[in-house]
Amino acid sequence: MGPPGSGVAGSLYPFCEYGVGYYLGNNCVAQNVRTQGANWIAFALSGRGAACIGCSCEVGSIGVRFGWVPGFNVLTSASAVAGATTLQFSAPLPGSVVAGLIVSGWNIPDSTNIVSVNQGAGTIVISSGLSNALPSGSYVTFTVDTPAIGCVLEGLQTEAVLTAVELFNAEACLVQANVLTGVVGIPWTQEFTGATWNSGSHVVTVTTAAPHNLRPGFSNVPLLLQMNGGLSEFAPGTWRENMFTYCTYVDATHFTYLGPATNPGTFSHGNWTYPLRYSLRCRKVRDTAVISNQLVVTAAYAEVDFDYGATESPSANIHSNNVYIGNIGARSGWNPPSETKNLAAWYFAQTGVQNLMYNSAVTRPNLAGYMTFADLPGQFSDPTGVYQPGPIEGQEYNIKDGQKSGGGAAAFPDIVAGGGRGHYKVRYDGTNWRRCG
Amino acid sequence: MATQFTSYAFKSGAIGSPSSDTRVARTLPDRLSKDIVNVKDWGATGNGITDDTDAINAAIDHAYTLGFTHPQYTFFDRHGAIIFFPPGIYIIGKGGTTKLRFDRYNGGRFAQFRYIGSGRDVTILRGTYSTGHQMDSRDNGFLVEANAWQSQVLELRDLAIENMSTDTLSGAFMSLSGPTSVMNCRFKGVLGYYSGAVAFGGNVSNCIFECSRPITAASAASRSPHFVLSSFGEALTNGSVGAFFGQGSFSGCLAIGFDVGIIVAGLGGRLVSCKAYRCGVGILGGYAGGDPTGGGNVGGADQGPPLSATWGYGSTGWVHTANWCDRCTWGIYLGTVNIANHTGANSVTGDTGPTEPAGIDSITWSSANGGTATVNTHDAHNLPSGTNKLVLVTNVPGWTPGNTGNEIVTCNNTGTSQFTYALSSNPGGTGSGTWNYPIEYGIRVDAPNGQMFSANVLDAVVSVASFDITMPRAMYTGHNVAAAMRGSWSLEDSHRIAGWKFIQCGTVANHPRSIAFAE
Repeated sequence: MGPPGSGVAGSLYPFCEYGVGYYLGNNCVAQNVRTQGANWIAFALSGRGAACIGCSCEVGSIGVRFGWVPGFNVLTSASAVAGATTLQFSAPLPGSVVAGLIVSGWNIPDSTNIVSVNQGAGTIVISSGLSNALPSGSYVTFTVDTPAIGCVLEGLQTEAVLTAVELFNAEACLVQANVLTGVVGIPWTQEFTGATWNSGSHVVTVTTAAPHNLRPGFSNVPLLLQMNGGLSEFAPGTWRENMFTYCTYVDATHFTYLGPATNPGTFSHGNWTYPLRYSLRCRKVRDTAVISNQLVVTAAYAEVDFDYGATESPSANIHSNNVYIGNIGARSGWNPPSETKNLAAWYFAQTGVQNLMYNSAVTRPNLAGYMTFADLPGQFSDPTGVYQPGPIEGQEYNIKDGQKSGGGAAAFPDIVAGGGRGHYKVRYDGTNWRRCG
Repeated sequence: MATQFTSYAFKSGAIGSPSSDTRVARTLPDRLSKDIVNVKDWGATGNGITDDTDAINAAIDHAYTLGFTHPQYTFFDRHGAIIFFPPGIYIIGKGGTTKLRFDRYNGGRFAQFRYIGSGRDVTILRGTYSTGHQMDSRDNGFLVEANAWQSQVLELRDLAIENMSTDTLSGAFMSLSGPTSVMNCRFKGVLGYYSGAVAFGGNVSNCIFECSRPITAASAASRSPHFVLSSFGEALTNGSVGAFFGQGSFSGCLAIGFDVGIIVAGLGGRLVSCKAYRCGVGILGGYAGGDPTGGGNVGGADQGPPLSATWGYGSTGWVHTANWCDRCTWGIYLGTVNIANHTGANSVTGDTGPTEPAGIDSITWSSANGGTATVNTHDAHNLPSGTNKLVLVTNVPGWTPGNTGNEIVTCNNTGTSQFTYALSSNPGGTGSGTWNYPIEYGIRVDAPNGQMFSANVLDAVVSVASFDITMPRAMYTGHNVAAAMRGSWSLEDSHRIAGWKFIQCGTVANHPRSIAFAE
């Protein structure tokens, strides 16, 4: 494996998207196991009663995924450009390639599925565009979306894993007493040979020593940069070590970012690398408890991502009946679910932070003040019963658009409706939602 | 020229500098008889016919002359010898007259050995042994036993112990004191494996426990598995138990066909990723003790089940996670005194009880009492008198009240081979099918204090409730939390409900929050 920018196709360490360290099925236990490097998934759990206890993983793409089973591979027969959503295989495709399967492989974003299949033409359409170009002859893996039921993750430490834990398809699982850590995504950095500052736009243009192999045309991508030995005058005014710099593609050996307002002077040396991405991602999560974890990954995208799976077709971002209690972290922010029906699925207690520590892609330190009256159980249509059951007497939530039913500010214990501006705690009394806080 | 077996020395040319070669010449017999004691070297046959008890005892006696005596822990006279069992079936017990002891002690000085087989399906220690006792102060009914205090089995690995007796109080293996490391073994008996509740630091992993009593049909006069709750509480009467475990780690195991699959008790431990299949109770936390033949609490705190209703031993500081109880009448039962445990991410599944469904010869319908179906069973059903909730599986869906053909139905015992149930409409013709006892509870909790239940999936089709707290003892019910669980709920209608906090629990139709203010 080479460093970023090594130019070796398919070896962009640690963006491994094939290897699985340990696959744990029914009542299988991994205990006191350490994995290091080059895994797409270090520990994959599915079936009933699998457990990962006292383990650790260092460097890789995904530390633990709840809900994964082995699939099958098919080789592409044509190259595809970055961002492409159609993949070409030798025709005809096997009959087992059907819409809905999870698609994985090199440069295929996690949580991508098959939208449609043309068996005769040998093509599939996937739900997310490729994160970079895919050469002909690349393996693409297809797997059935399979839950982990009654599985446990406990006592795990992750370090330098792009996504520490994924609740990809978790039902009645327990995630407790884990410590998810890491600052730098890849231990090897890639050198700059130069950097210039534009006095008009304040944009800094860097020149990489080797082709950076970042996706052509990208913009606003978070990277970790070191300039002139650390806290750099080449950085934006708010920048400090381990913060992310949002960069834009220029060509194979150049990218830019918004630099300081004043002339930073002479460039001497610098380097770049990828950041970590997430501590915890939640895709399909049901009846699951996340308790007493330390989530302190310096994550560029989100500390906790509640919107995982939303880009699949149809959306796989479905949550119900979960608790999230006593977890430390969220310094990189929480990414709320774009489908707000999912909000009632989570009970939060003693968790979240007031302010973010890092300039990650999301800006919410918690989900307080995010829910509306329309998001309460029973207030939205749920014909298949996949979202939070309710309303149930005793259920309580915080909403941000409350008002007294009929209009005006609600006092205790007035019946509450939506459409207002009141940040209320509401309780269902068996008939109505009433203000209780 | 061939070198004689007895004199071949394992010393050859020097490696590297000859002057630095400090290896010591040893013979093959040195290695074979001192490093690893092979029971076949002492006359064991493993042929499944010959009684190998004396030969194995000779090997253990020889092992007692080996090993290491720690300069500080001098009460261990011999420590760490390895006794090896090649593949084979080793007959134990001289026709049921004696057992095999894995412990040795001499004048208060004890030994600790390691017992290693060649695989749990290829190294089998088999016998039929029963004494009617199961107390550490007597001749216990275990086929293999390491019962002398501090005379521990350090390790038991890759072998099976099968006590074919079906007598009450007989069992496969007992190790009174820990720590014992047990890996990849199989235990067959009325009681499979027993370690004392104060056997500190044990580790049992990847083992199978099989009941020597066969799973019977539901109609059997003495059906098995069948958990009987005594008047005292959760004590067992003539019960079979897969494993009784006190303190330590118990993981990746499977118990099949017992009245109770796995019992955990004592202070501190972990039960993880185990499965109980077709048991009366899948997992039991805490137990009640007493020797049914001894009249009470004879042997102290280390008594194991199956025991009568005289004494209790709690379960405190345990984690029960990722376990799976399938087709168990009660999935998880935390009885006696359970304090400060976390029971999370366990699965309880199944749509019928542990016994084999019994045959139904015919089902006929009459208009009596608004519609009545009369069932004639193939054998005498041996049902209790009065009403019983039963699982009926019928050839035509219309023969069950919910028109599913597979559901729990309340039935009236109307004869030795007959029962009836309400059925409003006539499906036509004559029905047939099977009946069985149902799964009653997913999780049942008694005397909880400081308990956490989270993310348990209660998928079993139950006749009473998925989660039940109707039987708490008044002195121990407080500081409990249940979170992220659905299913059906059976709650105590008293002030004890204030000892619980429910978070994300229940469904619209059945939830734990309909509590009167006075409670």
